[in-house]
Amino acid sequence: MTMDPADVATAVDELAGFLRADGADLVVREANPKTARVHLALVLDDVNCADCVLPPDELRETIADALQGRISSEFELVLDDPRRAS
Amino acid sequence: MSANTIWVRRPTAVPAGEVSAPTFRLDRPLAGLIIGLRTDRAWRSWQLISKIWDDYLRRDGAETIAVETGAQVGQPASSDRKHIEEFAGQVDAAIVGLGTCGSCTTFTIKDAVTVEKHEKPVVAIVCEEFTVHAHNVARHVGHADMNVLVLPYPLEARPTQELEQIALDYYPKVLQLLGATA
Amino acid sequence: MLASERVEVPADPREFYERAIEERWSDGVPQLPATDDAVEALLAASPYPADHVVCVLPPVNGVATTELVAVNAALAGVEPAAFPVVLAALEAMSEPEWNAFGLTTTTSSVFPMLLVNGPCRDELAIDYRASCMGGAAGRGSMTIGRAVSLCLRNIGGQRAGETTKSVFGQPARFGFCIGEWEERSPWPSLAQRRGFTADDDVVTVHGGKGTFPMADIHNDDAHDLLYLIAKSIAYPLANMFLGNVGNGEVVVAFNPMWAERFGAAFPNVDDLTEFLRDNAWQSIELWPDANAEMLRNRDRVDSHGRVHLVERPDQIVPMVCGGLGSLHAIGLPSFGESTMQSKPVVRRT
Repeated sequence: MTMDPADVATAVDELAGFLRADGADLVVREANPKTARVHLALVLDDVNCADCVLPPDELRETIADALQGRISSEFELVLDDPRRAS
Repeated sequence: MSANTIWVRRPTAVPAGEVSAPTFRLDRPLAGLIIGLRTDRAWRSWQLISKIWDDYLRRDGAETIAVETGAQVGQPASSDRKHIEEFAGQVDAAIVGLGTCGSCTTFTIKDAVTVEKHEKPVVAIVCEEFTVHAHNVARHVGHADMNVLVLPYPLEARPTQELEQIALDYYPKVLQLLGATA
Repeated sequence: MLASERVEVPADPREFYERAIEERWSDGVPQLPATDDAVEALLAASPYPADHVVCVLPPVNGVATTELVAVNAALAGVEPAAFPVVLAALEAMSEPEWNAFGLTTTTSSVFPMLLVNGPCRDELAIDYRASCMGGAAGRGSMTIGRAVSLCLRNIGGQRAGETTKSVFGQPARFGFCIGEWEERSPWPSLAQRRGFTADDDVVTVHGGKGTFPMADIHNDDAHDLLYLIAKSIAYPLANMFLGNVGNGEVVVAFNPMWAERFGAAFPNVDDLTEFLRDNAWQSIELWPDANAEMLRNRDRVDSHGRVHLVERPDQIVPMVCGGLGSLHAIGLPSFGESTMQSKPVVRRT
């Protein structure tokens, strides 16, 4: 069973709700069942308090857990986090 | 059909016909004849034994031709099969070996069949472990009565002295199967 | 009107299983009864008439008509939409360069390994993601491979110890049919590299000896990993050291994470296979004298004392499949005296 992009969108929306409280956001760049890749981006343009947003590793783990709760098949999570050096 | 049975279709193919192509015998002495030896690059033991038999055949008055095969596919295989076809046309009889693995036994029989199709006496040399397989292959290609000489198995790793003794011991048998007379 | 012989068998599944074993149709695993309905449904999906000769299968040179193939496919549980893949695989195997004659009788463990490209992978549940080589349980993978195996058994007459001399057999003898994860490949797919388009459904049949596992947890460098892969596939007792250097292929299956890394280092797959070819060798010093002598006699040793596994880069065949856990690659070593063959899957129009 491959992933349903709608499930990804729902999970991301829930997570983004928490992030928006600090002025950040989480958006879906791609949720492709053919490649099993979920590509998300953390947006910090309007963030009030950058330190209030979970540190990168913890944030990634939280996102991965949330997605795994909704997607039963394997997937690759790609997270663009501007706090990480490119 | 009863309530407890159903009808299905049999999944096996009808066995190939049991008609066997004829075999041939020399029924004359070796002197003046051209005897072919087909060897295989893979087997050192057979290279040694066939070299000894080559010497014996020439000692006994025959002229010999050797052809070495070494491939089952590709351009080398096409060349091999072409050489076997030419070889079969040139010889009065042939000794074809060596079957000492599954696929090499299959190809030994295949090449021996080429000689037999030219209506020449031929003996396929096969090691004991592959005897049943050799006869099966021969039967399935319509040459069930092909002459097969069985050598001991395993053969390849035996010391040179043992291989020389085997060559000596089995030479009369190969002549017998070819139908060579004194 | 079907032509194959009708046989009355028990309706009870367990009794049918036992009867199939007695009749020697069985591969040891329960089968589905090849009723007329089941066979006809498969034939309805075939582009060929029932009496069309698909191929002649060694070792007993049994004639494989479309109908007889359908009977075996019914036993395996193939769904009608997947039947053309079975036919294409048999057509590929019957090409002379695949060397069915040698491969079905050898002492080696070689067996046809079906590698599938095209949109049919998802349609037919042919596995190409996690556990694709065993455990993913896609219906297409499990039944198509098995149907080919049953054809070899029941039509070709391949019987262990009787008509085939395979010393060990291998798990793929139950059936091996996987897909390529084309969407995760940084290169053109296997089928595209062999002249087909991305929209074609293609089955490539490789004479493979088994699955050869490779793993690394220490190194992320693409060149380093590929070097180790090259050395791994050139293991000293590889069949391809026994015969002609120009014959046979080795398939190397990369997991998608490694493939991405390798694709970044080698955007052109020909460069990648050249790298692998250049490094897939062992020193002649590795082999004991008896083996070294034969390698020298067969001109396998170059001027540097190296014995190369293959002559040409195209004899190393990469494909992308498997799960996202990374860390692993799988080699499908070749029998050697066989050249992989590809056929398009032809459906009834």
